[in-house]
Amino acid sequence: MEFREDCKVSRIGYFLPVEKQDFTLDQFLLVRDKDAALKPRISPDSWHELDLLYFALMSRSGDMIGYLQVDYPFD
Amino acid sequence: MKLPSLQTIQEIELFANLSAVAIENHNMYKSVATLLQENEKKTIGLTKILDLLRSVIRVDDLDTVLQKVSDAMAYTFEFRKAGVSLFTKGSDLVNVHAMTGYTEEEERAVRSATILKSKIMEDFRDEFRITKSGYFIPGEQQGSGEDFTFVENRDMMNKPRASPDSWHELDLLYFGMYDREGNILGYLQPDYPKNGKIPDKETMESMEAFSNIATIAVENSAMFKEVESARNQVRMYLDLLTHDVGNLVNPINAYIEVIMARPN
Repeated sequence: MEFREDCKVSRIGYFLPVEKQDFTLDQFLLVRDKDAALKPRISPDSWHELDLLYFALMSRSGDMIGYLQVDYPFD
Repeated sequence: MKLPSLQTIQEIELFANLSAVAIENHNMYKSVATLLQENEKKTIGLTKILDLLRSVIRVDDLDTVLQKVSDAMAYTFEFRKAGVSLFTKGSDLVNVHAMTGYTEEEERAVRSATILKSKIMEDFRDEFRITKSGYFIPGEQQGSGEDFTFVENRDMMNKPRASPDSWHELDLLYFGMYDREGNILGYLQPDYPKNGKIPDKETMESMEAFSNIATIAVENSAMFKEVESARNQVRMYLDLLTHDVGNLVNPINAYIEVIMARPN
């Protein structure tokens, strides 16, 4: 799990685009379309098969107790 | 598929925050529930101990008190089974006075078995002594265990101990009951810890308190019987004395009546 400062997009949101990842394909738990995963991003605002968007779940004391992950936007 | 806008990300963030609060609330609820459960257990344990002490002070029937000792000990230290046995004066026989956690059938089997003091005393050796009056005899020292009065699971008898701190089917834990002169009156035997672990030395030291209470109960009971017997004897002597004094006084009364009846 990478909650990198350079990927922080909101207070607790982290967007890790495929271009900033150094994972291999087999390290992903779920990839819906393996062919799309190997292709480059279609346009700068397109979602890529391997993009990751996480939201840290923080306790009142400031500890990270989990995360929420959204994937595959409909549009 | 497009990358979500900042507004969408902020909206999702709200859901993430809600989830974090829900998780924290759930954890807090679980902690509170656990604390309440622990408190309830402690209260029940304390009530049992207070009830036991009241019985000891009131000098209730000995078996009733010893049953309370056995129940309170098993409950407080989380043992599934426990028992209190007393040695018989001038005999090698052991009498089981209280049992906790045994089924009726198991209890019948234990109570009808012949348990010998000489056999039990073989286990009260210094090498097995853990506390002042507590002895732990590991299953590995018991041989086949065929001579055991009670074994819950015979299949486990010959199996090795699961881990160094695990309780073994043949493990024995005794707490001797010693009177003021240092004579052993009997013993308390907790068996089958609920967590399957051998209690540590500190726990055994606390458990020892129950054998002391049981000893006080036995000594109080003996003293109560002595006092009652002495009271009965005094009552008998008083009855006899009253009767004898009456025997002496009655003829005198008769003579006085005769003399008083005479004309001057």
